[in-house]
Amino acid sequence: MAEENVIQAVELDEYIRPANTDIVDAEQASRRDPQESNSSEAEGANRDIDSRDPDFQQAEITEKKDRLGIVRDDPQVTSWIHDATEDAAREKEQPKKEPEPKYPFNDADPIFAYYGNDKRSLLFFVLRQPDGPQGQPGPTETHQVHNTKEHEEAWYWVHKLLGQESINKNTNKEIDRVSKDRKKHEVEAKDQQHKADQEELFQAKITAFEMDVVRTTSHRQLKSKIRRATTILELTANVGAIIALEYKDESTPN
Amino acid sequence: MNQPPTKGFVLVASFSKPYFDAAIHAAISIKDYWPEAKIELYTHKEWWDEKYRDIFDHVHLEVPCHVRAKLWALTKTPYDISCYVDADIYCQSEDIKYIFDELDDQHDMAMSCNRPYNAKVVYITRDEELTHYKPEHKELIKTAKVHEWDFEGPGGCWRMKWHCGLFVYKKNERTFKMLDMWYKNYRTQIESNPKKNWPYNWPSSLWYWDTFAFFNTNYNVDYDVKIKEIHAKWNYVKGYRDDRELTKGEEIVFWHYTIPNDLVDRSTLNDPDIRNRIGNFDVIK
Repeated sequence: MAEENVIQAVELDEYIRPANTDIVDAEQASRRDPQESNSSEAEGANRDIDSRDPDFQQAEITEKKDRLGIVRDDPQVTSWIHDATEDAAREKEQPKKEPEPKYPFNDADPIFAYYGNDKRSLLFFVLRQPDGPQGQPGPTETHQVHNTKEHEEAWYWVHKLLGQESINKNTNKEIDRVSKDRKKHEVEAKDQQHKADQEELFQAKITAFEMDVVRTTSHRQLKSKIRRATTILELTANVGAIIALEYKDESTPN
Repeated sequence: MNQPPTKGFVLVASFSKPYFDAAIHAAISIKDYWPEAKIELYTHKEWWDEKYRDIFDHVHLEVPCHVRAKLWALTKTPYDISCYVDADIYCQSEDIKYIFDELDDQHDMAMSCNRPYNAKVVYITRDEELTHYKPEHKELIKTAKVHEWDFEGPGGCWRMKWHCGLFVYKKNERTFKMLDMWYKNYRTQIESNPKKNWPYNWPSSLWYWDTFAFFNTNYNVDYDVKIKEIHAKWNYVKGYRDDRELTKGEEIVFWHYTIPNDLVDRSTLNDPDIRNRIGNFDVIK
């Protein structure tokens, strides 16, 4: 294979090689006659240095790199017959390219976009208007479009300019942000509820002890239970128990 | 013949109405478990109701409108030995009658210690508040001092040791001198602006805490006030862990809860000279 390439290269060299272009196929280079004439003095000097550098030599041998990419594999087909019917069939097979819709944003550019729903039929995007006359950055504005005929142009151009991958990536980021926010709000709401419950409980205990029957009762354990109550229900039950016992004490003859 | 020292509880409820409600609550609980207990209350006239007269031995109805009016009130106690209790506390054991026995002849005050696992801040350096769980802080807090003269060591870390929500104290010159200085230092810190003219070489985040003022008063001045550490059961703060603090059969005497902050903030006294949420020591009501 390499041998053939050399032959081809030599043939090319004879006929079509442009001026100042040298053949640098790795294997060929390694077998080049050191006495071969150099196109310039500098090139000659470089070649001398390369030939003295064992690492370079080794690299040339082991890598066998086509550094300029001019070596090609053997062509599989070497002759062609132009067949008009085949061309027509091929053309028919290919989907007809529809003309691109008109660019709807005038001089503005979409710079950021993400899908706004699970069905991915709603797209939010940010448009950046052109910079001002003094070079001040153009203002940005947020828009949303649906994947419908009405918004076809915007939908097409945002996807074309920003790319599906980028929009997907932004969408995932947005989902993460929304989830995080939702979680934060849930924690805050829970915290708020806990505070409200504690407040209600504290106030209920104060109210309970404003009742003479509770404040003056001799049933100390029940009073203590009211103080330690962790729910309104527990508190109410103990207040009820005190009232019941006081009523019983009153109605029991000494 | 010498009279036995008088002993009683000091309760202070100022600036925000829930403190008053809680103080009444606390006093009733003390009386439930120790009907002979003497209790003194410092509060505002506009909250007072004569129906509570039976509970208290002394009632003072002119106090500074400040959330820390307790620091003003401490040295006004009529008792020889006083037990100051925060308003958000209630008694739940008959052992309360032994609380004054905790203060022996060798000590001037009896206090429980702050638990680092349950306190906003206990250990500090000159620059920051430390935590008890961060590895880099753990090493540092081993060398923490309460006073400058405590021991020779690498230093640099300080411990705000004492919990200031309940303590027993004697009426004597050195103790009252220190308590007065605590009040003065607290006023200095609370009346400064922590962002503009914080007067100390300590983290300004400590601005609000009377616990810091207590530490700051005592860390480099020796008032010769001897403080004895008492068991957590006397001042059992919400969040304390029973498995750490109580052995079998030990009974909590005072349960220390917290009044919901939002309620406190919403229920403060109105006065044109009070323009913040903590009050003004100069406004007496």
